Amino acid sequence: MRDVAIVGAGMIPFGELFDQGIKDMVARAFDATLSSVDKGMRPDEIGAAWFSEVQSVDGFPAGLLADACGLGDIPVTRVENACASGNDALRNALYAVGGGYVDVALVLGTDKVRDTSASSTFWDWMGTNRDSAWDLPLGLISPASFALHVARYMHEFGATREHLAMVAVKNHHNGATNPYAHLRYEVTMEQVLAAPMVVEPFGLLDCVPQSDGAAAVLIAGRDVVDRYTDRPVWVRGVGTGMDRVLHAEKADLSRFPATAKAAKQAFAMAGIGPERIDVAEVHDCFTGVEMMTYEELGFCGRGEAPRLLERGETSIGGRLPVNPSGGLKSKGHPPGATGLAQCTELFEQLRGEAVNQVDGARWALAHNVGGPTAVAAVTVLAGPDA
Amino acid sequence: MIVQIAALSTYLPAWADARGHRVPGPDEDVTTLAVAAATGLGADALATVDRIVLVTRRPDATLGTFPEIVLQALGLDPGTPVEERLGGAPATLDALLSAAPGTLVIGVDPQAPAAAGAALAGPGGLSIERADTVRHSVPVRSRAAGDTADRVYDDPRLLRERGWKRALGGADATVVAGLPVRDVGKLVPGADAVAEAVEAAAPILALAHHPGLLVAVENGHSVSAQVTGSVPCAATARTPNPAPPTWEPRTPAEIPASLASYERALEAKVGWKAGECRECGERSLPPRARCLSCGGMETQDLVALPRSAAVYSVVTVRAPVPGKHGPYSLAVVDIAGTSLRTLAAVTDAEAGTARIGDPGALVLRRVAVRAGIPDYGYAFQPEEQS
Ligand SMILES: [Zn+2]
Repeated sequence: MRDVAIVGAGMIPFGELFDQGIKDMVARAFDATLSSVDKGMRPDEIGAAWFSEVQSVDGFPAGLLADACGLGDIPVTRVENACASGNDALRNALYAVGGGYVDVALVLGTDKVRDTSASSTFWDWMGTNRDSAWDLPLGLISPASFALHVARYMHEFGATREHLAMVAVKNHHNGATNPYAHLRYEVTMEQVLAAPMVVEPFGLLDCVPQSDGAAAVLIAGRDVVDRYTDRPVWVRGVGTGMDRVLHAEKADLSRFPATAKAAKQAFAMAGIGPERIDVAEVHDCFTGVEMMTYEELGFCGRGEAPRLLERGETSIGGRLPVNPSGGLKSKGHPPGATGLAQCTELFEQLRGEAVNQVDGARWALAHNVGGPTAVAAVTVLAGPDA
Repeated sequence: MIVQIAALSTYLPAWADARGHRVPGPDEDVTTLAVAAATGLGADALATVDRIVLVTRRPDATLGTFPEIVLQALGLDPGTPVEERLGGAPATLDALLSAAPGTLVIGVDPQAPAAAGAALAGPGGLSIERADTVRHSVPVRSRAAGDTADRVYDDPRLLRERGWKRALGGADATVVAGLPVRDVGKLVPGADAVAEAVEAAAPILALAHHPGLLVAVENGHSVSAQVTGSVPCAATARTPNPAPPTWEPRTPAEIPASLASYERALEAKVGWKAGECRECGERSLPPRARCLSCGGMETQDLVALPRSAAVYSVVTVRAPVPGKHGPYSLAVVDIAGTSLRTLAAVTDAEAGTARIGDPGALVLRRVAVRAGIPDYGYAFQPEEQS
């Protein structure tokens, strides 16, 4: 398989975008991504496209991307893998480009969560993730699905709500300066702890906002990379891991096995270990999920994640900054776009162009976990100087 | 005819209104109350049941009622006849007085004061014999089919003078079922009353405590019986929690339903059974087509599961969920004596009070109403703190 690099990456500012339809967001993210290519790229140089969208809005997804971007002459495939769709779509595209079937591929992700009424949106999204007979009627809403893991973790390892709040404080601090972030403000530990409860142990400020948005990357095979940039970001490893879909059948709720499996695949492909990662974008849909994920990614040992937060090791300036973009927590979480927005941030980090730049970052990791915590995707990236 | 009663069981819901009357929880209806009362008889007694007569004034539905839910949940042959009778206290006593051995009579009062009782006819220490039947018409209370509330002709004296007094006649009642305690005290000084129920459940609650002349009254109608001897009664009555004024969801919304998937799951979900592989013994909940242990296809038989469990992880949903009453707790529980777990709503306890490790029981409840159709399954009832 040949090496594959990201040669362009872009996104639109995430937020409550009632003024933009999904087609508007897709066209704008596509344009931003094309414009980010150092030496320029014509749309007709793209050989295939993958479209990451979790919930279909405004009709047939793949056709919608082809139509909105004027890419009617190439194959377009929709990838839906819950909140891991973005990084998983990138994996699919990488196989095609790495295999030599396509020289340049577009991977674009989006979701529009605010185009239907709140209550119908609610159950529509629940239906995408729950067993109709056994799970759905109980009202296992997304924060509850993740909270069942975090509550068990807290029970086993003595982590507290203060540890969760440290994640919110850190990520909001980072996102406050990110012009693409949905929630551009800082929060204090006291505010996080005093916020209304959503699902114990998560208060309102432990949870992602509902965001609309779109993000994309353009990837190219090694033989053609030079046409587009002299500072490519190499996709060194990809992985997608699965877990049992019913919480009752998960062996150990204090863990996220899907993440561990995805990370194992991605690190094996990259030929490095977690100790080489300089900066990471980690799925923090709920604060405790970021904390637990440190362990699944190998950033620390079992039960040590709260210590990383206490010592500020995942803050900018720490040993391994996590979510310099603000993460899902502050930047926002349109599920199909999230993984690609992470890659956009890391593309800039590894080229030294990020707003919250991590000094000397050479290796980076992007991570999503989604659905009923049953799928995760991990991407390992290397900068031009790695 | 003298009818012998082999076993008695009574059930009071775990919630009380502001007046101190028991009211059903949000997940209880006539079906679950009937099952709760009958379950108390125990497996040996239930094994002798060959017919059920279910008496209530307030059936769950006039179309699409669920005798098969009662049979599944009690582990009875699905071919067992279930007769649903509309009536109050006299109707229940009447059913008992004509019950053949093996007939299970269940009386259910789903409105405050809510209660349910089950009496199994068969060889036993308690005998009942019809004394008298009186029938005068004073229908001061009425509910037309489709009405949501009772209409009451507002003259308590008319009811008492021309209804109750004539129904009681000159009988030297030892215990009166079907009238409020205060009125019994005025009308039949010296007679006992049934405080916990005033409709169909009342005569069975009376049998549990009082030999002598039992008079069951409703309006101008009464049935009386001479009661001799006694049998042990399994009485379930948790210390009541204060019920909120309403169990209605803050935001109404329809929870989507797939009756097809519910029907496929029914035997396992309502009968509380796991799939057990004939080849390797592996158990699955829910049952599955392919055994995950040995790969056998269609090798699973349904086997009954234990109904005691302990909390493995638990969370409390405090954010308003469209179509659900809140707050509510959801738990993943370890099913005793198995390596299986299930996800269950926590019931009969204030939300947020269940803790990891707490023991309890899995009880049949109406876990949701979806598209107007009740969805039955098992909820986790934490053991009462002593
Ligand atoms: Zn097997």
